[in-house]
Amino acid sequence: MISSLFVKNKKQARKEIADLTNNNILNDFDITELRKKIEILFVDDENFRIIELLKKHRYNVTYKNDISDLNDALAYDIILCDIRGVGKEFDSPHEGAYLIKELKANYPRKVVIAYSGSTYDTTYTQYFNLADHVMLKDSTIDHWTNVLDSEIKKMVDPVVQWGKIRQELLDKGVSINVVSGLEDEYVSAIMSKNFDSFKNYGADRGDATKNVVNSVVKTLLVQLLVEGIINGSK
Amino acid sequence: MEASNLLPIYLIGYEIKDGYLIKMNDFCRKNCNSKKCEDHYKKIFASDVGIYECPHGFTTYAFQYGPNKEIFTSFKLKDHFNKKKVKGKFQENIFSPVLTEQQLNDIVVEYLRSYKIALEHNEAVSFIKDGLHEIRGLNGQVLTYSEELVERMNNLSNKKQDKESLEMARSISATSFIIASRFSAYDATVNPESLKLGSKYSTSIYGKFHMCKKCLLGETKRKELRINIRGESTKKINTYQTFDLIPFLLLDNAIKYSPNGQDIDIRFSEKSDELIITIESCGPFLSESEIEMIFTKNYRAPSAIETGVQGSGIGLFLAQQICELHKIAIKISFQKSDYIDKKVTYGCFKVELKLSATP
Repeated sequence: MISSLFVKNKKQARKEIADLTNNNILNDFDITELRKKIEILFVDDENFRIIELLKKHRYNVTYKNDISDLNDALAYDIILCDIRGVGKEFDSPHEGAYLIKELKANYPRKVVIAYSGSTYDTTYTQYFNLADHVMLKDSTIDHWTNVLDSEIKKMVDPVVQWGKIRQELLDKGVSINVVSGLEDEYVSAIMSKNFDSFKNYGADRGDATKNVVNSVVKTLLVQLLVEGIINGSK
Repeated sequence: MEASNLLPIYLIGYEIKDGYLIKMNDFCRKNCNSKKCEDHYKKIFASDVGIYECPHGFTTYAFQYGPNKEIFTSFKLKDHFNKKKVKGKFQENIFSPVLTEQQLNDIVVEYLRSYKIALEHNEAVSFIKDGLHEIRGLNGQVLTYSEELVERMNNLSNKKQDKESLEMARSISATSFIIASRFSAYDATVNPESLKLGSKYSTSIYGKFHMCKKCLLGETKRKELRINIRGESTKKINTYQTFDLIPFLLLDNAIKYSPNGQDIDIRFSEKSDELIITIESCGPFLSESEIEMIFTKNYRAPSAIETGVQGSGIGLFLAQQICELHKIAIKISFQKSDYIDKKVTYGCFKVELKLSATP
């Protein structure tokens, strides 16, 4: 009886993502600081001018004329990919559009933005729908910055990110109980600005769970932001 | 686009494809991959063009088109098919008359004609697809360079600023924006799915109208029109990128049909949970029944056609589609006036957009 009450109380004490609803983590943060922290990759066979202009607006942009391996995109948080003239190594007639599909399948938490001059073409619609956003090649600089800033904010928004992490963990077969425990640790880490316990959460689990949790924890951008705030406030 | 074959046609690796007029019979459908039939077609590919009888009694006709050999098969040609062998191999519901050589010749001529059209059509589509993608990329370059130029010139001190050059740079930017909007309208017409591509992002509606007004300044000046924006709004809503087309389509429409020297009034009226935007301009006559048709794709009111202004009846159709996507109510009304120009009666054309809640 006493032990069951204890378990019940312990369960009630678990923190949930809703506890972060009023968290002001993003409120006082300068968007130009965020722009510097987020790594953006442009994949296009033509080095077009907007890349230089975005660099002037303090975005952390790297340009590649193509990628031959998905690992080439591993280090980046946002990937902008033309739908034509790239992804040639993947040997698909849909070129960059196919690359977008592969990037989303392999890196579900990375933001993949398709940019194109071919939105009239119905054969690409299914690929466009897989991307997080579709940009037209002749968009104004205002539109580019509006979309990129909006995606950057989402990338470091703890609530949005938890939604993605949770889905990824469940998709990879991690049990709901483990996910719920990790949610508790995640919320606590953000509230206390200390990720040590969160990072070790997977350590005493089975290998499969440990690997999945570790891979998620390693690439968590929210942590960077929270630690950035700590550093900034010192 | 494919050539229209009226008779069943043999395609290497694809078995036999039905003709549009004469369908393949079930016997051929089941047996065309048999060794006997395959050998028959292999032999024909290696032989001269002409009329053949297949192992099961049907007619096969091989003819040349450019480097390719084409084969019509599974039909009955007078004096060339084997009546005894084909007996019982046709279902009653399959239309398969006995053709004369003249009829076969006519069918081949028609096939070759449609083959040529299909080839030209496919080449043209491929050229347009590649071209549009490239042109949008190049337009993006023009837009970026001109925006950069405007920014640089704006940063110069007043003494160094060449106002005329700055105006030119702005005009290049505006022209590029108009080209981009025209392309987006084309995309949405050809592929309606493109209207809701990407995720939504926060948009200032007032800002979009204001920017559009600036971009259409060239055409406004040319027609000596005045676009007046009255009222203000701080409202932001989450929109798809195609939302940008709404101000463009509505203002472009107003400018296009307005006689020279008129006013175009845009009014913003914002309450706590509602924003109403009205665009009033001078436009050609519209009856009540024509207003009901105004959002129909490709519809143009008779008096709009009478003005001689070019159009395809797409603008308001698209505007309504985009409004619907963003849960914006769009309403058109018209009030006749005494103004007549080149025998066309004009009046006040009013578009009302009503945003009740954040979509």
